[in-house]
This record gives sequence, structure tokens and C-alpha cells, in this order.
Amino acid sequence: MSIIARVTVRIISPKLIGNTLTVPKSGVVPVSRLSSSLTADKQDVFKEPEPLSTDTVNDFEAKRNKSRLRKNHYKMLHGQMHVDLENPFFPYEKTVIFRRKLIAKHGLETGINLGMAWPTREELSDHIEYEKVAHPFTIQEMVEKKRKLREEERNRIMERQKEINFKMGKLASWMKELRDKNQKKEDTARAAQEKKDALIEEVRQHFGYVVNMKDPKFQEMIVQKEKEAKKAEKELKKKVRTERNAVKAIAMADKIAENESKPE
Amino acid sequence: MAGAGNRVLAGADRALDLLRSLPRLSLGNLKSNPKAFQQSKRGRGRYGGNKHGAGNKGSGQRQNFMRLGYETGNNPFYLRVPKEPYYKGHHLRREYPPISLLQLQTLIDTGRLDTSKPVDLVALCNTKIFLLSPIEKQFGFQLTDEGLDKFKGKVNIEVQHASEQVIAAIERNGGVITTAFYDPPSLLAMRDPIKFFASGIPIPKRQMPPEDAIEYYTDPKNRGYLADPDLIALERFKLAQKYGYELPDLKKDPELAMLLERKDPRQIFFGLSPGWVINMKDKKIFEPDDEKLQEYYKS
Repeated sequence: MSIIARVTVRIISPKLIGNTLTVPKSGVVPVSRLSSSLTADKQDVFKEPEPLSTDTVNDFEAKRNKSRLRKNHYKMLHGQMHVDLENPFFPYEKTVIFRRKLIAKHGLETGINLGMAWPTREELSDHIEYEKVAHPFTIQEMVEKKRKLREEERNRIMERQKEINFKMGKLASWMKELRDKNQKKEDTARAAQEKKDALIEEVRQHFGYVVNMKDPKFQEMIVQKEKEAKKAEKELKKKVRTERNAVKAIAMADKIAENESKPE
Repeated sequence: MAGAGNRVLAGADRALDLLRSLPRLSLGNLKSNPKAFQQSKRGRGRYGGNKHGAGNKGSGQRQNFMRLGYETGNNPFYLRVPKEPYYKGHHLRREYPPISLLQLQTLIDTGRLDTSKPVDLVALCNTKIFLLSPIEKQFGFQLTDEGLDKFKGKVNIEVQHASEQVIAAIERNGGVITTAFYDPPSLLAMRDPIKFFASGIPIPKRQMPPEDAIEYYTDPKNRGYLADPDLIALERFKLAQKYGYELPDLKKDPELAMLLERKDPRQIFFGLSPGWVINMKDKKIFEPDDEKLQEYYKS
């Protein structure tokens, strides 16, 4: 490709400015400075310009690439390493997480230190501490704890059942006791009531009409009655005593008789 | 930089990276000690003054503040609505999405599951039929008893929960079933292993089950991965008696090695240990050299 430039050669005559003779410097073009195309003897000999690079393949590929994508984006699209690690463009390209992903995606060609994948000393101690707090017990300890809990539960239930059985056994006697108690209460109440009624009846018979319990006449009657009752009781006691004494005396007599008869 | 005789520690590299990227130390990015000085609260002068941010009249300006939630006498919102603890502890409840025995049989029959290798959560997720979402508290799969009577597959399967009859159905056909626990980070690694390897993180250690799950996974009746293998054998025998099928003799099985293949309690992938970095580009496995790291990953 050669561009033939049009060069107009102006012949400038010296100008008269005032009294001096002046020649503009720009007008004069020495012959050696003219392009070779104008001064060449043979017009059809052209020298090709020297190529800037010798890498014909890449150049060819570059010329082929009409995507107009940025270099980074083209690489990303074609799954190539698009990050320049020495001059990172984005701040996230400096992070450990990103570097790990780069290693995972592009492997050893990235040139990143593979140790990035594992935690540092401080991070490791953090991990260990976290695990200790999150899982403080070993399997055996946990199993033991659960076993104890279950056993305690079972024991508790068994104890309760035992208690219940024992009490159920006693239930019959308790029921009987309760019934007896109630019966007794009823009986005493009835007896008292009957007594009262009998008393009233007696007093009524004596007076001829139903006397109110709170009446003084009634009280007098009761006092009298009590006296009589006491007397009767005393007599009864005496009677009993005399009988008992009699029995005793007979027994004694028998004994003495025996004793007397024995030595004989 | 990685090179043959130039082993540089990763920590040093990272420190240097930091130095390169952090800005220069100056008064503008220094911070005082926590209680070096007290912040002044009361505004002074032009616009901090006048009412000093207390407004007009009312309890506010008179510095006699109402308690938080008080609504000047009417029944306040926080007392009006009664407590309804329907979702109490919902964040602690684990979910196990179901896979029926019928589905399993179909997968085996159509060739989507390879039964010549042990089937675990990874294999089930790789079929791309079952999606596991650990974020939604899903902790793995459970095997349900639908299609139990028609199940004829012989398989070494590892799930996260299975009932007694399902265990019986699998063992009846000469298979082996195990129930195992995986913690959420392990699950995230397992449900898409390729994506996990692309993150460049070393394979994590599987953590132990929580206290409310430990009983399940140590019980031989559930074929728990932490249970005693001898007791499991005994339970196999008992189960066969219970359900009335003849227990197939595994020792005579040509696939015995495959059927007995089980993972270590800390292992996530078959054949890979925790702490390894798998590189899919160069088809290489990288292990840590450091003793402390090795100790950590082996514990």
C-alpha cells in the first residue's frame, strides 16, 4: 500500500517589504527532502514498510477477532485466565476467596500459591475453638447422657407405678374404713337424736305437752333425770362390785381349801 | 508463587498481598482506644442549641419519657396480641424430603442409578431428580415405604432416615442400608460436588449429630452409622425373624466388598478425605503438608 501524496511545489519570488529583501523560509524545499516517489527514477519501485512485529500468528488472530470485546472479556468468554495478578484491576481480585476460585478454574497455570486454599494459623485456631463450643461433648458423652436421662425417666415411672400399686392394694381397707367412719358418724348422730327425742317424749308425758328444749322447765326436768340416772348408775356399780367380790371370795375360799387339803 | 524449589508459606503470601492493597497508615485511618474519650451528647450552639433535639412541650421536652410501647393509656400493641407460639423452635426442626422405594426401583430399572457402586446422597443428587436445599433446613433424604412390596433392588444405600419396614425391604433383597447424618456445610458440598470443587475450598470435616439426633444414629435398629456393627448384624437377624423372610448370606455374595463399603464418620465423599482440595482443571488432588492442618482434618 503506497500513498502517493500530492506535493505542490510553489516557486516563491522574493518580496519587497519596505527596503529589505525577504524570502519566506517555508517556501523553499530542498530537493533531497522531497519524497522518493517524486524523485525516483523508476516510478514502479516501491519499498514495503518494515513490519513492527514478527509474530504473524497472533497478529493474524488479533486481526481475525472482530468481536470488539475488551481483552479481559474476550478471555473470560473463552475460559482463559483474564486476571493479571501483578496488576489487579478490581479490589476483589486481591481477595483470597477469588484467588481460590481462580486456582480451581485455571489450575496451576495461574501461578498462585496453592496454600491459599487452607486456613492460616489464626483461622485454624478459630475453627478449633468454634467446634469446641458448638460440639462440646464427644459421642460417648452424649450417648451416656441420653442413656442416663432415659434410665431416670424409666425409674421415675417405675417408682410411681409401684407407689400406685401399693396404694391400690390398700384401697379396699381404706374404703372400708371410710364407710365405717361414715356409718359411725351416722349412728352417733342418730343415737343422739333418738335420745333427745326420747327425752322430749318423757318430758312431754310428764307435762302433757311438747316443751321447748330451751324452756327452764325442761332444764329442771333434765337435771332431775340426770340425778336419777346417776343414782341408778351408782346402784348398778355397787351391784356389779358386790357380785365381783362374791366371786372373788368364793375363789379365795376354794384356794384356801385346796391349800389346806394338800399338806394333808 | 508455586514453583519447584520455592515453597513459600501461604500465610506470608497473604500478608504481603494485604500490604500491597491496604492504604498508607495516617491519622485519617487510625482509631482511638475504646474509652479514650467520651462523645458529647448535648448539642451546643446554633443548630445543636435552642430546643436541643427535644421538640415542643409533651413528655419529650419535659424529659419525662414514656416507656417503650406505651400508647398513652390505650391497650398497647405489644399487649393486645396474645402469644401464639405456633412456630416456636421451627428453625431447629430438621426436614428430610422423602424418596419412596417405588422411585428408587424406577431409577434402578431405568438405569439412572448405578447400583454397582454405593448409593449415597451424592449419587441421589447427581440423578438431578431430587433437589436438596440445606438452607430450608433440609438435612437429607428419608426412604419411605411406598412401593415396598414391589421393591426388588439389591443396593448399598445410605440415607438420613428410614423406618423399620423399609430397612427390612432392602435387607430382604440382599442389600445394605445405613442412616447417616450430615451437617449443612457438608450437605452444600454434596448436593453439587462440581460446583463445590470450583470454589477451591478444601473438603470440610463432617460434624457430629446434635444431641436430639445422637440416639437415632447410635441405635443399631435404625442401622445408624455410629452404631456397633456387631449389634447391627444382630438386629438384621432379628428383623428377618420379625418380618418372616430368609436373611440372605452376604458372605456368599460376589459384591460383598461393595456392599460393605462405608464412610468414616468424618468423611463426606467416598474415596476422598477432609482437607483435600480437588482441582478439576488439572485433574489433581492437593493435600496440606502442615502437621497442624493434618491433625485438624484427621481429628
